[in-house]
Amino acid sequence: MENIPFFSIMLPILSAVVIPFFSKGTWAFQWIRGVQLAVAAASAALLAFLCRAGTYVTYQLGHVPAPWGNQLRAGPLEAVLALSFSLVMVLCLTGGWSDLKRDMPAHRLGSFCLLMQLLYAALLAIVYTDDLFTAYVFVEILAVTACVAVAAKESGRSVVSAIRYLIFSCLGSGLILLGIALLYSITGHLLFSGLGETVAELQASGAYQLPLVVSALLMTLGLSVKSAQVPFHAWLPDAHASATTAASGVLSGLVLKGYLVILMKLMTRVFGRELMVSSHLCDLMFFLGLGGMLFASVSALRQEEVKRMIAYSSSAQISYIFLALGLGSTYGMTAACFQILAHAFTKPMIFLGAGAMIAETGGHYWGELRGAARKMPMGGLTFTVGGLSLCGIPLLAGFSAKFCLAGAALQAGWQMTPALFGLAASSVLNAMYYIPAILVIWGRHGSDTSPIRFTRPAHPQRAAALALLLAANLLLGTAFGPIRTLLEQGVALF
Amino acid sequence: MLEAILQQRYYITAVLLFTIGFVTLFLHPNLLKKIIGLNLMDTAVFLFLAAMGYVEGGVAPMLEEGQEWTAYINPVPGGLVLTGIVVAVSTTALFLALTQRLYRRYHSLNLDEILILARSGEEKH
Amino acid sequence: MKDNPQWLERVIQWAAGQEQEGPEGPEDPERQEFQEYLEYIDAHGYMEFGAYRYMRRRERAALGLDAVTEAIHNPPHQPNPPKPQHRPRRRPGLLRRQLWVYRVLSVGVALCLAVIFTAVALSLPGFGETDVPALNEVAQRYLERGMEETGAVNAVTGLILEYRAFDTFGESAVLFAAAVSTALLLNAPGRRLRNYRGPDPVLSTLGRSLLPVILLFGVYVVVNGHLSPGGGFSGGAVLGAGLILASLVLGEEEMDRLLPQRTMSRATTLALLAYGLMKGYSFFTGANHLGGEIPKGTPGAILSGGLILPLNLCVGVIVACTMYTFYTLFLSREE
Repeated sequence: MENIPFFSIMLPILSAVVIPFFSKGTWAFQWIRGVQLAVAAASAALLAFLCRAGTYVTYQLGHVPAPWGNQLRAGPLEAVLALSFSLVMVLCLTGGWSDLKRDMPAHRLGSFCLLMQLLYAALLAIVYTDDLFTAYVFVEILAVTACVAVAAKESGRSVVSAIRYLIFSCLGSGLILLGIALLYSITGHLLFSGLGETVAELQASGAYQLPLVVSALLMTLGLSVKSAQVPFHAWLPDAHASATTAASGVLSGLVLKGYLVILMKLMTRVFGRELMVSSHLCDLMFFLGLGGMLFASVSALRQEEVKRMIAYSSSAQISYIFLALGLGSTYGMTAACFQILAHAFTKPMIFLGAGAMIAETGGHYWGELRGAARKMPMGGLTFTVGGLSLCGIPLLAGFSAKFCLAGAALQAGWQMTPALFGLAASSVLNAMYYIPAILVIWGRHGSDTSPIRFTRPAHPQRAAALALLLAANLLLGTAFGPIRTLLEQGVALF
Repeated sequence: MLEAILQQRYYITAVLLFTIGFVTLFLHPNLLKKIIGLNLMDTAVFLFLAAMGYVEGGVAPMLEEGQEWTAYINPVPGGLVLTGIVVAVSTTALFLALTQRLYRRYHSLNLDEILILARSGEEKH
Repeated sequence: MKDNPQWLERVIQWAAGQEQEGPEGPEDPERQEFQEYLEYIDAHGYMEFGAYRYMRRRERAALGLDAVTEAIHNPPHQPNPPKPQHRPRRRPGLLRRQLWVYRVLSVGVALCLAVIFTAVALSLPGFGETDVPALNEVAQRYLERGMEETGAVNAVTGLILEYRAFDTFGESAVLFAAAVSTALLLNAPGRRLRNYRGPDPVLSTLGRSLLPVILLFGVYVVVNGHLSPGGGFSGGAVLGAGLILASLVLGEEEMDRLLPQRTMSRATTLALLAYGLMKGYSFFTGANHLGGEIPKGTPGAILSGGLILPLNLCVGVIVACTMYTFYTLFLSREE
C-alpha cells in the first residue's frame, strides 16, 4: 500500500517516456488512458486503506531517511485528489479525443499524448510530494506541458495565447523560486516537515521576520499568478478558449488546482495558519478571492464567445477557493477542497459539452449556437447541468461547494458578511450569464420546428465521458455528508 | 548601513538584476527582449542562491578524508542552482520555439503588434 | 527664433507638440522605418481594432500618410467596404494613456520590489558567515558522511544523484518535455534544412582541430562527475556544444546522415528510461528496506559511487542530445 504514491508518479512518467516508440497516435492514447485508469484504481485502494486506518503514510525515496533524503507523503486528502484528478484526466481525454483528431495533424497526436501524460504525472507528484523544491520542479513540468497543450492546436491565435501564458507562468515561477531561495536561506530545509518546524522556531524567537513574510508573500503571489487569480488573470481566457477541447478541460479543471494544492500545503505544513493570519496574507487572499469572484463574473457577462465565457467563469471559481483559504480556518480549508473537487468535475463537463455543440454547429459565438442543444442533446444536457450547478441549484456539485463555503464563512469573524455577500452576488452573476446561454442553446433556430433529435451518438466515447461526468456531478451534489466527512478527515491529516 | 550593504553586496546585485529583468519583461514589447528579461530574473535568483552557499574561507565540496565539514561551502545551493538552470534552459527553449512560430506567421517580434494581428479577424479559430 | 540653432528649434517645436518635418525629414532613417511600419500595418488591415485605430490615425495624420491609408482602405474596385466587426467604442487617446499608466505602474512595482528586496537582503544572514541557518544538520551530513553514503567525492553530484535524486529525475523530465514540445511546435513534416554553402575555411580548420578536444573533454567531464567538478549536466552541455560545432563544420546534411533526428530522440528516450528504471529500483529498495544497495567501491576510483556513474552517463546523453535537437530545430525552416 505504501508504494502506491511512488508508483503513481513513476508509472506515468515512464509510460510517457516510451511513447516515442509507438508508431500510431491511437496506441499512445489507449496506452496513457490505461495507465491513468490503473493509477485511479490504485488511488481508490489507497484511499480506502487510509480512511480505514485513519492515518497518513510517508514514503522515503532512496536509502537515506527524511531530513536528508526526499520523501512522499499521502493522507486521505491526497488520495482523494489523486483519484479525482486521474478520473477527470481520463474523462477529459476520452471526451475530447474526437476534437483532438480534428484539431491536430495525425503525426502530432503521439507527442500530445506524451505531454498530457507528463502533465498528469506532474500533477500527481505535486499532490504527493513532501518537498518544496520537488514541488517547484514539477510545477515547471506542469507549466511547460500545459503551455504546449495550448499551442498544439494549429492556429496563430493559440500560439499567441500560449506565449502570453508562458510569460505569466515564468513570472510566477520566478517569484516562487525566489521565495524558495529566501526560505532556504533562513531555515536550511527544503522538506515541508523540516521547514514547518524551523519556521515555528523562528516565529517563536522573532528572528528573520521580514524575510519569512516576504517569502510567504512571494510564493502566494507566484501561485496566484499561475492559478489565474483575478488581478493576474489576463492570460487565462485566451489560453483556455483557443486550446482544443480536451486541453481546455484539463487546463481549467486540473492544472489550476495543482498550484492551489501547493498553496494549501504551504499554508498548513510550512507557514502555519497563525503566521498567515497574523501577517495578513490570509486577508490578502480573502480580498483577492472576493474581488475575483465579482470581477471575473462581470467580465464573463460581457463575452460573446462561448469558451471565453466559460474560461472567465473558471477564474471566478478559482476565486472561491482563494476566498475559502483566506478564511484561515479548518472549515475554510475543507470548503476549499470541496470546491476543488466540484470544479474539477464540473468545468471539464461544461467544456466538453460546449465542445460537442461547437463541433456539431461549427460556431463559436452565442449567435451561431442557437438551437445547438437540439441537435446535440447530450452536449446540451451536460452544459445545462454544469451551468446550473455553478449557479448553485441544489442537488448539484456547485451547490454543495457553496453550501460548504457558506458554512465556513458563518464560523469566521469579520469575514462572514463580505464572504456571504460575495457568494450571493457571484451566484446571481453566474445565473445571469449561464441561464441566457442555456436558453439560447435550447431555443429554436428561426422557423425550425424539428423536434429534439435523440439519435445514436456519433462519438459514443464522448457521450460516455459526458454521462460519467454528469453522474460524478450528481454524486458530489447528493452525497454531500459523506464527502464532507472524508474531506474533514483528510484536512485534519494534511 | 554602508557596511551592511558592502557585506551583502552579492544579494544587492541580485536585487538589481532582478529589478532590471522585471522591468525589461514588462516594458519591452519585443519578445526576444522579454525572454532576456526572464533570463535576467532567473539569473538573479541563481546569483542569490550561489552567494548564499558561500562560507568565508570555504573550498569547493570535493570531499577529502579527515577534513572538518566546516571547511567546505554548502553544497545544497549548488544543487538547487543546477536544477534551476536546467529548468530555465527548458522554458527558454520553449519560449524561443513559440517566438519562432509567431515570427513565421506574423513576421513580427513585437507582441503588441502580434496580438492585434491575431485579433484582427485574420482567423478566429 | 531665427537666432536659435536648428536643433534647439526642433526641440522647442517638439516640446510644444507641433513638431514639423525637419529639413532632412523623409531622409531620416528612423522616420522612414516608422513610415514603412505604418504602411505595413495598414496593408495588413488591422486598423479596425478599437482605440488603436484612433491612435494610429493621429500618427498617420502627423506623417501625412492619409493618402496611402485612403487608398488601402477604400480600394477603387470595392466602393462599399464591409463594416468592421469591432466598432471603436473608446475615446481617442485612451489607449495611449492606458499604456502610459501601464508603464508607470510597472516601473513603480519594480521599484517597490527593489526596495522590499533590498530590505530583505540587508536582514538576511550575512554573506560568507559560518553560523548561518542554512548550514544546519542537513548540510553537515551531506559533507560529513556524503563520501561513505554515496561513494562520490564531489558532494554536489552526490547530493543531486543520491540524496535528492527525485528532483534530478524531474529535471531531466522537464528537459525531455521541452525537447518534445519544441519538436512538436517546429518540426513540420515538410521541413527542409538550410542550404549549406560550404564551411568557412577558418571555421573548418579551427573546428576540425578543436572538435576532438571538445568532445573528449565533454566525455571526461561526464565520466568524472563523481570525482571532480562537473557531471552529467555540465559535461552534457559541453558535448552538445561540440555537436553543434560539428554541425557547423561538417554541414547539416552530413550531420543529418551521421546522427539523424530519429537517433537523437531514441537516445534521449532510452537514457531517460534507463535513469528512471535505475533510480526507481534504488527508491523502491530503499523505501521498503530491501537492502539491494549497489556496491559503492572506493571513493576516488573511477568505478565507484554505485549508480552515480551510469546516472551521470544517462544525464549526459539526455542533455547533449537535447541541446543538439534544439539547435537543429531552430535552424530548420518551414517551406
